[in-house]
Amino acid sequence: MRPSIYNILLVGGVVLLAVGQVPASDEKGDYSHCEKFSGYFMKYNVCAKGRYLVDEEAVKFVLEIDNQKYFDKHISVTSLPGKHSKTQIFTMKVKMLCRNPDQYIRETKNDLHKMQRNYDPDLHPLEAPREYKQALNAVKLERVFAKPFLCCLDGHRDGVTCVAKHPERLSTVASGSYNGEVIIWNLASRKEVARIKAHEGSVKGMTFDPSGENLITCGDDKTIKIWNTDSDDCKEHKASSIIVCTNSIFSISHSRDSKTFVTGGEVVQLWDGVKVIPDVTTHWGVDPIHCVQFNPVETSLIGACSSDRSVIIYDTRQATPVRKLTMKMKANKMCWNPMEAFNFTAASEDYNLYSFDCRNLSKPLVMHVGHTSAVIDVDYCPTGNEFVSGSYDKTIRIYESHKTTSREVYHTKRMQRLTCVAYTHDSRYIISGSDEMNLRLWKAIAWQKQGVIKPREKAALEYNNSLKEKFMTHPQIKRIANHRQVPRHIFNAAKEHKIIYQKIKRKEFNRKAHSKPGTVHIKASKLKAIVKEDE
Amino acid sequence: MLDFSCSCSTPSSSSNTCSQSLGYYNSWHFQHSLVHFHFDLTMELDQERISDDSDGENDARSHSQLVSAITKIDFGNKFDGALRKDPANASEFDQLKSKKTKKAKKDLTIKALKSAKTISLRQNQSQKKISTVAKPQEKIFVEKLKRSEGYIKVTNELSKWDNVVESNRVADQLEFPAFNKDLKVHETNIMTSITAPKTELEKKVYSMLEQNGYIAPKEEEPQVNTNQLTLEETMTKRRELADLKRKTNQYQRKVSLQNKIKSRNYRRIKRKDKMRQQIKEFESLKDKHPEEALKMLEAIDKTRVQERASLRHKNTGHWAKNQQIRAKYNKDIREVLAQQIQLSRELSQKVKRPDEESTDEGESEDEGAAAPHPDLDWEKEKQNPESGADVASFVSGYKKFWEEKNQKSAAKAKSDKEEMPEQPEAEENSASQEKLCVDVEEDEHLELMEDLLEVRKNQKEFEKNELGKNLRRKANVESVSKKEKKVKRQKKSAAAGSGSWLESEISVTDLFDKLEQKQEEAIEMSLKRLRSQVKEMENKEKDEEEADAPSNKKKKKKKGKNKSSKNEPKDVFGLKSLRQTEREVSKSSIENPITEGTDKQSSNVEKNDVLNSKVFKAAPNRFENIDPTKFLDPKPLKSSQGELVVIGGEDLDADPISQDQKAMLAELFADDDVIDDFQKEKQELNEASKPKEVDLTLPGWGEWGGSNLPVSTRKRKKFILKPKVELPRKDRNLRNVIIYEGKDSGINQHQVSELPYPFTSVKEFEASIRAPIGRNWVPETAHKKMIAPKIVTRAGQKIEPMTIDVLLKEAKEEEKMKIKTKPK
Repeated sequence: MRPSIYNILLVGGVVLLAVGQVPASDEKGDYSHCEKFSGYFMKYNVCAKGRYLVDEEAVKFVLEIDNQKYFDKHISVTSLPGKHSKTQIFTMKVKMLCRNPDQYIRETKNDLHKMQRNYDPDLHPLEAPREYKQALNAVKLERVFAKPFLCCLDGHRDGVTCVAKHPERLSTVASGSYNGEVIIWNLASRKEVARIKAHEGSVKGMTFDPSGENLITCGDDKTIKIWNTDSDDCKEHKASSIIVCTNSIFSISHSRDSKTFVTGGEVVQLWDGVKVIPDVTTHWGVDPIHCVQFNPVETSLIGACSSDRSVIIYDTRQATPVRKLTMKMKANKMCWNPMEAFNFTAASEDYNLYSFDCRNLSKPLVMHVGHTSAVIDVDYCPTGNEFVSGSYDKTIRIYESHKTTSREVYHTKRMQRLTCVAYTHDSRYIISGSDEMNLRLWKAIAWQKQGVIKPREKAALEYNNSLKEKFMTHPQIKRIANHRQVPRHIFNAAKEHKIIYQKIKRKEFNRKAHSKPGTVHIKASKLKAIVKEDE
Repeated sequence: MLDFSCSCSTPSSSSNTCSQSLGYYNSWHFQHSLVHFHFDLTMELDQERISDDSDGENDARSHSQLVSAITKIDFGNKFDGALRKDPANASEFDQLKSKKTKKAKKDLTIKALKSAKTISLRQNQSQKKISTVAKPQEKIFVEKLKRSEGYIKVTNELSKWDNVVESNRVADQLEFPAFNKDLKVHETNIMTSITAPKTELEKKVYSMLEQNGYIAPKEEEPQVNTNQLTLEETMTKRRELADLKRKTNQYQRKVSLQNKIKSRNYRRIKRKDKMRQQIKEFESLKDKHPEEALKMLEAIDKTRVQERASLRHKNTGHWAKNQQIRAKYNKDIREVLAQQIQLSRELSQKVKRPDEESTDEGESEDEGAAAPHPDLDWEKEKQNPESGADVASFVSGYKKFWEEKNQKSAAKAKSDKEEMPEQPEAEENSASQEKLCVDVEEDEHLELMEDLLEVRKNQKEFEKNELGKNLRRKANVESVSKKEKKVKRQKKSAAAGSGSWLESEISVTDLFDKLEQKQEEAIEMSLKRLRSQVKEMENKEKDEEEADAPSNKKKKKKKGKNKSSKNEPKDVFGLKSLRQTEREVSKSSIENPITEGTDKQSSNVEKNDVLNSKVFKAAPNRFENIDPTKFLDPKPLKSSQGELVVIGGEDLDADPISQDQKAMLAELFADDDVIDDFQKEKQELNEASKPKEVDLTLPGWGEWGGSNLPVSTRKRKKFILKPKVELPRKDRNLRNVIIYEGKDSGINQHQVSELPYPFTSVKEFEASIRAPIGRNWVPETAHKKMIAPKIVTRAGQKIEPMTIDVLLKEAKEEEKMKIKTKPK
């Protein structure tokens, strides 16, 4: 009866080949006889399909080892079988890449596997290509996992006009609509907490006070209403106080550290929380103000957008405007950077956003391009390095505050014209309100995993991110990372805008080329948007 | 007379001069001018009154004058032109004003001509009193001014954030919400104060527990506060400590020095002291613990004996010293002393049994295996070292021991594979064992044979002689060949080893020679014995034959003849049908004792070797087709950080069997012929890369003859395109290398075409790409640093906008830095 190899054990670099009859039931075989050679043994189910030659005196094996990477291809028979009654054991010396198990076997099940490394760069000649490949995979995975849309909060009976974030509770958000209704939402449960019939006509602006107790709304009916959101009164549509104004109000913003809030309409008025009469009434020009924003850092500053295409900065201590910037097109909204007191971004009607340093208004810092229609709303990420913008072109874009192009564009088939966007206070989510009566919740980072991330996973993600960053200049990675599927109308519009832009550039170039040198000065496109800066 | 000097400067001039003039200034100015006017008026009236004081009836007149003057005042015309002005300074606007002003000017000049003195005086007065007052600003300008001023303020204020913003922008990592680094560590006393009972209920419970002993009452530890010690106290304390340290050091040094003393006298005195001490102890113990005292006595006696033994006949005693003095002059005494030394030398020499010499040497090599056997000790004591005669009896007592020992040594030999110098010894071992075993067996056999057979005297002489001659010859030949072998091996090992081996070689060879001699002697002895045995046996056989049938006799004779012709000592035993077991034993023990020089009981390795060699002798045709150049030499990896050590398994080449292994390897990997494949691949590539002619000729085209004609030279010239001569392949002279010279177009799409922004040179950029960040290539800590995200946020935590606290913190840090950097 010919013996057959039924398993191979690697014992500290020595292969014990147990030759004998395979017990049919027991696939793993009986290794008890091997234990006398060594206290421990690692098992590699390497092969049972070796060619073997059985002689009377010598046995030779020609192994076809699947897992050849463990071997250095040096296998030889060093000693020959003794006469055993049942099984024959042959030791084979294998020159293989073997390690001391103490170095990699973990003590308990909960430990991590130890990894022994040799950092000698000579041993890793292909590290850059390997990392490149990893980066490529990472960036592809990023696109695979990019699912930014979280949920849709429907409940409004008319288009959403404005949203307000609760200053303390991350999950609480209020939204107002064209029919004068205000809904307070719980984002975590995705349900409405309260529904208030706040105004006749539309709700124009909303803001929470710093404590988050009161919601202040203003509307078409020339009233400012203060609602106590914690009490049940608001559910019964009872405002805690109503201020009736002589002029219409389009926007409202609360100071971060005091009781003052500002309203913008035909005039700009500063209100003390208790008083019925404004503390200060001021204005510059005759056109109405449709947006006011308190600076969250330097709390005496107010930014305002006027319908005469201007952005005005007010100082509450002097109770006067301090500077006005007139642009070519109207700024729909402006938002201060919460980490850089002097910077703000204005969402312009000319499809672009402009970031300004308010100490030098005549030169915008960055022109953010990408939208294909008027930008309606803008809101800064609380970390100050990003902002989100909502546009009339039915898309939301996320920009890095110092970059021209957007890093992300969100859209859904059902989402219509954006009316308002907001970044949540934890910088993880984006809320958008649109014409078609819905509030939507998005992830700020499209491919980010929700929920608890374990440390190892986190480390892997961080590594992937830094790899992406490292290789972002490589064309393939850049292409994959920047590729976005957009609706046809946006794609076409973008193409059209590109053509228009090229046309303008060409014309400028031609004009310069065909006129006397030094007579034609070509302005940078971001400077073209500025008309004048008024003192 | 009346002069309204309350004039106002022109608006243009005021706006130029007074930039600070604000709206409310205008109204104030107006009021001021009114007051001024009234003041002037009363002044002039007073003067007149003074001048015309003499006439008292003038009062009424003056009053009427005043009234008329007041009525003359036209408040509406208050801005009408300046009454008096320097013509040179007069502006063109003034020139164009009403005739009234011109007329007034004329009057003024006339008046000035009349009384220059009074005028100059008045002028001085007016200049003193009237300052230029600005015209009220227009609202737009005022507002503009206010705004620009406010803007400057705002910009200045905003600039305070510059540093923070800048530092945040360049920061490697920003954490939101900012991690509060001012963590406090609670000290234990604070913790205890926290846990101490505070409320009344707690206090009650606490006191109750304390009373019942559940809680140890608080011990107020005396607070040792070093700060409260005075300077003197601290100094004394330190001095004491230093003193203590010094003393301990001194003692340690003393002890160590004492231990190093080599003086014999000192040691003797010490020893005596110790002895005395021990005796004292013994005395004291005698009454209390007699058993222990007895033990102690033994110990003391032993030490004494040892000492005595060590000093015996060393000529160190009093007598010897005295004799030494005399020895100078007395020859007899010198001899006596010499005798003493001789004696001491004899006594101190290690006693060795001559019969154990050969085995002992083997044993001394492998100490672990040759552990002293308990049975051996008493036997040793019994054994007289001189009596080498009855070895057999000695050996028979130790049969068991030998077996065990052999097994052990065999096991050891199996595990150890570097036994080049040990091997011959092992063989000697085995040889001696054989001898012993032979003796044992023979004795047994003799007994048995005596029992079985009777002695036969008549034996054929030629048979005897032949047998003896053969045996002798064979033994001689074998021993010689063996000797040669051994010498060869020894040389081999010496060559392999370093120069230090040479010395040992000589001694070892000597040793071998000795051993050879001994072996030969032993063999001769055994031969003698065998001869005698044979004699005896044959005698016995004869006797038997005589007793048995003649056919039987013949058979046996035949057998004996056959076996004797084979010239093997084994045959002697094969002659007789002995008991099966005994036969086996004898076989195993005497199986080719001289030819092989090994035994089954001796090292397995040897046997394996032999077997291996057998194997390759048996199947040589298998290796004939293997080309030794066709498998790659495993070269060790070289790196800048030293040699890569391959763990697991000894170096193959160092082994004596490496050649065999190589051959085996070749067979094992006979199928995958790497080098041939490579060469094939290279050749194919070479062929492919060779430029080829492009044949564009169309057969039959442009020719009359048909299709199978040879291509015309014209066509060949025109339509067979000859390739350009290219440079030869770079790898044409490199045997084991393929160099791909063409561009790999697939990689283009992955390559960066432009130098990215922050880099200034391609080299820099490439270096940045080449520097790995993965944990496979950099240490874990570095890896973690490199993959740290730029912005860290925590889920579910609000990120507050920047507050003024950040600035305060920064200011504090700056102050700290200043303090640190300040030179002292």
